[in-house]
Amino acid sequence: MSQLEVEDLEVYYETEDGPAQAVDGVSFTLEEGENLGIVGESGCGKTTLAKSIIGILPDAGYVNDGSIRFKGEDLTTLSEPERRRLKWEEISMIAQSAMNSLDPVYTIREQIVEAIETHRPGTGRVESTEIVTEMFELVGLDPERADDYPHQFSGGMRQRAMIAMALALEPSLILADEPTTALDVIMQDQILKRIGTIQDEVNSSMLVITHDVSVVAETCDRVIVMYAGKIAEEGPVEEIFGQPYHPYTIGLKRAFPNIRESSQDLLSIAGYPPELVDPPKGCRFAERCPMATEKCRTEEPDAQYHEGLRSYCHYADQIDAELRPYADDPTTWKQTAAATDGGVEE
Amino acid sequence: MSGRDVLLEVENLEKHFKVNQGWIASILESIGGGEPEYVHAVDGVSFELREGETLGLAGESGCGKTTTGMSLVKLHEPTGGDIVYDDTRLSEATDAEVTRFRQNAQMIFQDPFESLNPRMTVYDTVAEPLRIHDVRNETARVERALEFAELQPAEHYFDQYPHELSGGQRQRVAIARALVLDPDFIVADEPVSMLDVSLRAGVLSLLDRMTDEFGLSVVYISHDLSLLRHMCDRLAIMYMGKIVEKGPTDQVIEDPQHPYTRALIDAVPVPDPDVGRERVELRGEVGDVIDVPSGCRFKDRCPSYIGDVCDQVVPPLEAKREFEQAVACHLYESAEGYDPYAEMDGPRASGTADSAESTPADD
Repeated sequence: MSQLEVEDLEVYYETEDGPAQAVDGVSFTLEEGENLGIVGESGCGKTTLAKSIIGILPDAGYVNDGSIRFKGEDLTTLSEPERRRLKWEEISMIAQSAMNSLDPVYTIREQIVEAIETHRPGTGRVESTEIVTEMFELVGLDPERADDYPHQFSGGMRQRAMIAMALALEPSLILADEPTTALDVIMQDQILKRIGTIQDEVNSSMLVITHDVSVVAETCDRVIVMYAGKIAEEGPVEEIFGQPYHPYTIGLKRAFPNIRESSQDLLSIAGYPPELVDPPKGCRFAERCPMATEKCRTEEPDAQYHEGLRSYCHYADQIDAELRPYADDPTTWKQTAAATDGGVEE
Repeated sequence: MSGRDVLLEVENLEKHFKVNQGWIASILESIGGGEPEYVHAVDGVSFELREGETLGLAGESGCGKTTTGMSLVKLHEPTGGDIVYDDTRLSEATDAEVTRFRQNAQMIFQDPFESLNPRMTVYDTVAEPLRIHDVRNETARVERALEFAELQPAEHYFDQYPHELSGGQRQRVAIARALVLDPDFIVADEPVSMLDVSLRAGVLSLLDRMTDEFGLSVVYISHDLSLLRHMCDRLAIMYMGKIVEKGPTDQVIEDPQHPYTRALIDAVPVPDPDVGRERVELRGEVGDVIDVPSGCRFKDRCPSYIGDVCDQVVPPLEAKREFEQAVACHLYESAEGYDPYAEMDGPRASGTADSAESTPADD
């Protein structure tokens, strides 16, 4: 049994025009101690996915169908007290904006101690103070500053305090939603390194949600590429960044500049993601895909398996033979932009 | 590259902001005769912008790159130093000369959701600079600018409001607005950081076309070194209000010399799981720009700290013997024979350090 098993998950948001299918039929598993990255552009459903796992969907959002099994227990049917028991202790979340996640009227120490005492009743003051000191040292903060209020910390320090809090109870699963996007590159590097060290120590697994493919390339074992509420492709990082089979993955990879390469022709994917209230019938990426055919617009693709990758593209089996050089060429994508008139309609 | 004409020369630019202490503190200060405190956002920055080039200003948040950019288009009045444009020193320029400068210096901001007036149509937004500067042929110019920004057909967008447009389209409107006066240079402050990855390349290629087709110069401000490498001819790396390294982009990225530049470049993640990279951990955080430390501003975090000279003498940004780029660091021997050790100790020390700071850099 995997630690986390998500099966055919559908998460919808209630809107005036009907339900928006933010996550639509997503299945994946996460093993103990594994790091899984979820990448995609804004609105692809990656944050909604994380929120549905920890049970903090906004009021308009609901799980329409499917299951989320954590250590065999279905999280979607848990009662609120049962869910609260799991939060922090078993599953914790590092959110993008630490300022909004910390309570401004309590010191950092009070907030971490509260989390510890709520979940481990009977923990003495001395012991919880020790935990705070230990966690602060682990994330590289001076333990003497634990009695400061959040506003006395800089952005980077707050993010580290947030991480200290998320890890204080040694959860078995960490959900990291853009954990370092708000930080400068040197701080990002240090924090990612620290999270890695801590993970090794407590052997927790992690779901890293980000738009930054480089962060995923460096921290994760496996990656899921999401597009418009669905998985486009999933597999080991080496394969996803080496020889992907889905045109969207190929495009996304080529849209990112690499500091190690001097002259790069960056690729721009014309058009914009489809409306999720009334998603297209066929492949959701068809409208922006330079290789799309009539079949793509009418039939939803099934998964194809190559080299450990799960790819939702009708033509994944032909990518190797002939389509890859074509999909890897930025001019291919430019032509699509001109042809569909989509180049300006983003 | 060095054969190109210089368009703009920035000389020892300084911009300090007074720290807002609240009224009780200011009254006490005026009674007690204390010195007001200043944030040294930009503290002696010199560089030149050449015709048709893209110059990158890089650094972490708070390093002064945005303040420098805003001073370049006169959105800030500099505290010290000067900008020379077309043989005119802006500090001594007449009103007419300043107006002409403003017409030629335009800026694109980071957030297209905040930089456009929500109550103005696309047409009015783009036409506004023309009206301010009293330029004729309004409609034709607006149309041309929008079409250059790939908002075609332009008429289709004339009556739209910002909320009807996507983030990418808004940023294109901001670009059209910046271009409509046919400026000499544009300061682009993180122009794509709010846009989705798949759309970034489109906006970036527009900026490329501005330099290639119109010979415009661009100052590209960003914290994203991978992007800067892709976009810029030359790079200047800033730390705590000063430039620490400056030179051709490939040179600076592939063979960084200043310890800070090295740390910064080493920290950039690589989108290739097979590439390993060195990880140097810097001590501490960026220092205090109110009570600026003596000597080198990076000394407390520097892995290559070499002692008293770093504590006492501000390293000037200057050409060095061993490599092409200019570096502000005592580790390397000056190409001009400048000797920082001559400035140490003795009663002269602090005075001469100040003059060393303003030694013009040669690149």
